[in-house]
Amino acid sequence: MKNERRDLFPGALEMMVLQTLRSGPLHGYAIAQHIRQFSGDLLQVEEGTLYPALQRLLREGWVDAEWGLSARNRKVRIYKITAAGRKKLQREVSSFDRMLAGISRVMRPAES
Amino acid sequence: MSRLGRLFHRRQLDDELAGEIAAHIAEKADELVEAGMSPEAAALAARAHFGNRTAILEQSREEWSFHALETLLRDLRIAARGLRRAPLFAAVACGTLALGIGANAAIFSLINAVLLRPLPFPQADRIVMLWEHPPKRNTTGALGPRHQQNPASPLNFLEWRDKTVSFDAMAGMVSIPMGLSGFGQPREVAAEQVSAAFFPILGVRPLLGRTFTESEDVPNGPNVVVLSYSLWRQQFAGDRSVIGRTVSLWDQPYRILGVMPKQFDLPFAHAELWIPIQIVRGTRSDEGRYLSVIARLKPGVSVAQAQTDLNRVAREIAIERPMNSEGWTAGVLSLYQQTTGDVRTALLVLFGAVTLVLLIAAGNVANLLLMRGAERRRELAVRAALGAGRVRIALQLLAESLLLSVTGGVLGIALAFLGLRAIVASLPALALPRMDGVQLDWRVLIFSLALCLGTTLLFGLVPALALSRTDFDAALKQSGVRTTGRGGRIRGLLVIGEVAVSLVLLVGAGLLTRSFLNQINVSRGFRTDHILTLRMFFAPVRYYQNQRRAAYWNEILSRIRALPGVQSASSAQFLPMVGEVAGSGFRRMDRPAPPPGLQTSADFMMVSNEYFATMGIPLLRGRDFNQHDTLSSEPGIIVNQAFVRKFFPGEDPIGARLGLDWNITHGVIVGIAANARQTDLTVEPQPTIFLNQAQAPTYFGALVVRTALAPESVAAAAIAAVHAVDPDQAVSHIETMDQVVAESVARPRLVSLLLGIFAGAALLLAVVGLYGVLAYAVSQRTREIGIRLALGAHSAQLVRGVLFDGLGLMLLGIAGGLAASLALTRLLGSLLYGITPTDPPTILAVCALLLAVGLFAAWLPARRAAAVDPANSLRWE
Repeated sequence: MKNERRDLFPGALEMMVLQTLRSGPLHGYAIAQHIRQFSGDLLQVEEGTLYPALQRLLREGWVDAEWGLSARNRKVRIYKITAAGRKKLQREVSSFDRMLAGISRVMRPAES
Repeated sequence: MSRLGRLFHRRQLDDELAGEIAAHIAEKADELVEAGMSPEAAALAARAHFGNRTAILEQSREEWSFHALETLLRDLRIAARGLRRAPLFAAVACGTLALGIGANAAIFSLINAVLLRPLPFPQADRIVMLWEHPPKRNTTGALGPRHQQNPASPLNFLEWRDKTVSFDAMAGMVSIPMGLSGFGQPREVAAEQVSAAFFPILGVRPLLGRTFTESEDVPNGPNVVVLSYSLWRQQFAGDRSVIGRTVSLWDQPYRILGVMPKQFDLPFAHAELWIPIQIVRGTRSDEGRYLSVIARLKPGVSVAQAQTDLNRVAREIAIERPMNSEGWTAGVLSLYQQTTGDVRTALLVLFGAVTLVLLIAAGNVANLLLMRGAERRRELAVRAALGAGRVRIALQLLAESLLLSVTGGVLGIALAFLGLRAIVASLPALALPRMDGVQLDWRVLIFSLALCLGTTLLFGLVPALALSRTDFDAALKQSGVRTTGRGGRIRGLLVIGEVAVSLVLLVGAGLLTRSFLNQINVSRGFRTDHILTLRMFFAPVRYYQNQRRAAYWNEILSRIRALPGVQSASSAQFLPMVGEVAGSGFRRMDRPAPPPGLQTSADFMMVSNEYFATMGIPLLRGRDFNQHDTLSSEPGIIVNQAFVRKFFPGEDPIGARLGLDWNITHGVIVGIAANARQTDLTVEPQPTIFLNQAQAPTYFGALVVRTALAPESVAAAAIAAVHAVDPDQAVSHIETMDQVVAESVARPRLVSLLLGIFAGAALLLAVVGLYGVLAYAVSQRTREIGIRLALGAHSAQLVRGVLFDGLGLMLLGIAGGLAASLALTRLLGSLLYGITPTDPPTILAVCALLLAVGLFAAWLPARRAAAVDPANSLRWE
């Protein structure tokens, strides 16, 4: 069996999902497409790995899901970010920014 | 939905997830079709893009809690189904494990009761026993510390108590049977005369009333008694108003002061009641050694410190009174060691043995699992292809192992329960201390549970890892089943280990069995068949006078000798083989008195007429005691050969006069008896002076009755004869001499029997393991064998090949086992009598046995290999 490919760092996929959902409710396939397009195919996410991440988000109450119809009129589950999810995203983004800044400083010490 | 709710809505969640994933893939496929792909190609691409669907479903599920538990339950269900499909495998594996776990649970129960269970006294680690140790004796064989423990003399006890500084309190104790009357049939009760400090030392408060005080424990003090819980329940039906009432002990009224609680008992000094010891200073008898001494250490004082303290006092005593103390030393032993001391080694050896049996059992089950796994490779390969990860497959295989070991464990505990009942029932009461506490309590259950889990890992892990590492692609492509090299090697190693371990066990069992046989076949010097024995203790008040006592013995014996079926009857102060003997000093009257410290001493035994004839001990010279020996005639002495050899070498002792440190002070040697063992079977005959009950009568002793028919048949008549002389005389321990001897070796017999059973089980398991491995190898190689036969190989060659395979495994196992047993059997040293731990004949016999049985186990599959029909085997697959 092939190993699943890990995303950038633990929680990165969840963060991207939350970020994607901030602009509006989407079903699973749409979320996957969205992430692929916006990362410019940078993140070669195996689409399936989205689902464990979605289950995690559901479990933590950061997203909600209900059944609806896709653009192709197919019965799909539509995910929506919750208030808790927004708060979480904010925290993650700011800590991500801090981390990025830290990494930058380490990588380019002369410029700081 | 709560997590718990989700656990119960599992199916709904699964359906939702599966539907969602299906929708995802369909959306993707639609999109690809719209981009111009054919529907078939699009469906395939969409699926490929999505990744491993099963794995993703599983990972998604894992996000919900209880995953581990649920997976375990599911794996167990799958395992149960799998095992139901392979009932023979399941039965053999469960049975093997039940044997291993059951044996462990049983022996652990014994260890728990005897060694681990705390003593029922507060701060029991501060309670110690004090003993005197006699000058080194000329004995052979394995003598435990028990044999060196000699009670102390009252004089020494008082000096220890007054001059040592390490103890809070010290008490003397003497066990005596007492006649309890006034309750119908006179009954002998186990009484303990103790100092007042006895109860505070053990630290237990009475259940009712009080214990006696220092002021009651003085010479000529009051007759008071403290009852045990069991006696109180039996004789007084638990009546709480007994305090202050009186009971009659040996015709004397004793006032009841208190009742002790239920668990209050010393395993080696069992008592039904306690009376004050009331030691009188300055009597002739206070230098006789008969007091057991118990004490409580001061807080913070170690046993070693107390020993140093006691050594100092003992040296002072030896300087003050050299006459009676030369060569004697004193020792301190913790109550725990006193209680468990000489069974500890035996129990630990047994525990080691059952652990080894369990190892072999685990090895066998691991082997079975490996073989089963090899046959299941295709099934496992299919699972892997459907997306099961290596860890999942390993866990699932482990679940099967867990199910096996838990089932085996439950069966094993049931076995242990039955086995323990059999062991406890077959043992005489005192063969193991604290047997009353043997039960399957929570400790045993927890131990067994841990054992199940440990065993699961032990036998399940290797196969699980080995199988989950298999190259499943190859397994799927392959048309038939083949053994893998690795599996074969592991199985071979397991068999080698099993053979080695069972060799160790067999050597141990062989040594203990031969040691036991050495004991019972030792030349004991007396006969044991057709002898009835009874023990009696006379009421001191009634039989205070020597005259009355001598007449009493005589009267009882004449009546018993007159009974039909009785050939001869006599009495002995101490019955042989019950571990008891008396000793004292003497001197030859024809020589000047030796200086202090160079006194000669010997064992002293009071016997009646006909003792030697009754016990079948030959009289070598001179005469037996007879009716002309009375209190008014000169005391006669019979000595044994060992005595003559030591004190009259090359001389004729008949007619020689001896001075005695006894209640008769001198006597003349009238006869010489052959040597006979007295204390127990392992102690060589000691120089012994026999005196006559008619001239130096004792207050207690055993009747020995030689019968024409079965000894039990005259028991009732013999008791009636005693009661005809004194209706109040209590009689106890009505046994045949054969029983007495059997009881004296009950413990070595139990240990060698159990070890024999365990070694037999180990041999059986190892041989089954060997057979299994070879039979499996042959069945896997049927095709190859068929080809070889077709190409003209002789079946004899094939048989030889299989036999050599088996022989190779056996020899490697035997070599390993020999090395291990040379290292391990030394631990048996203290249990062995008349045999060394590296006894070559035993080891050789064990090796031969293993080889023979192993070759037989190899021959069966070899014969099958020879019987392979080439045509058939080539068509196979």
